[in-house]
Amino acid sequence: MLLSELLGVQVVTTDGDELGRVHDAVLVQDGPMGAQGRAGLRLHAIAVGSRSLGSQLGYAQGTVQGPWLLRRLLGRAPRLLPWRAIVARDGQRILVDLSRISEQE
Amino acid sequence: MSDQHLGAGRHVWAVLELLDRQLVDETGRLVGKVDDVEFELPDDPDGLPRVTALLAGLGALANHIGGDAGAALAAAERRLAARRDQHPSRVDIEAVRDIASAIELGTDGLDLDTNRGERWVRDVIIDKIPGARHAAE
Repeated sequence: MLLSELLGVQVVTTDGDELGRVHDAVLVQDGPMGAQGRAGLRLHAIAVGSRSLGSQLGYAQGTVQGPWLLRRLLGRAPRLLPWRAIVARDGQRILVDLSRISEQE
Repeated sequence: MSDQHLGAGRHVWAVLELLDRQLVDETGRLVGKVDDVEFELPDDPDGLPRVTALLAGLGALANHIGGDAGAALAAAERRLAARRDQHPSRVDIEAVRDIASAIELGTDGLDLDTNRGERWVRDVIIDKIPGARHAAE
């Protein structure tokens, strides 16, 4: 699977609600150790909704911290859906079960 | 849900922190930019996809040259990609040493698949020029 196969794909809940399109993915370095002795990157969640200016600049993700005024204005966190909430996926649509999210949190 | 709930370990935003980032080899040579990320899907339905490689489209030379010459080299790169089962250039994730403002690799860029456009120019064009074998003399 490629990242480009996820980006821009519409996300829909099992109840039929449209949540927006995938605009980023969160990788966490907590996978099995590789040959170099470093933990592998695993895809934990997809970010859905419109890709805001804050997301494009890194304020929404928290990777850019200053200046504080821009952080306050643009720092609204994107909506994340855990990978395990995905129940079906193809090139046009990703189907998520929101009850799986509440079970995990 | 915030990314703080996603568990321990460094968090990397794939689009923000990987796509379009410069790949730099162990000698400091620029060897391309990240165009896509490859994942291996888990056999376990409750497992998570694992990053296996970074994919790059054009070789370093096309990026360096720019303009019409760079565009011509990019076209040659695309022809090569088509001959090679249409696979883009691939950098195994094991070769990545650090992810920062650039992606630092622990290997020599000349050995990477991302550099095949540069190798093609060297082998097919530069080496055919009389005297090219004695360039360092």
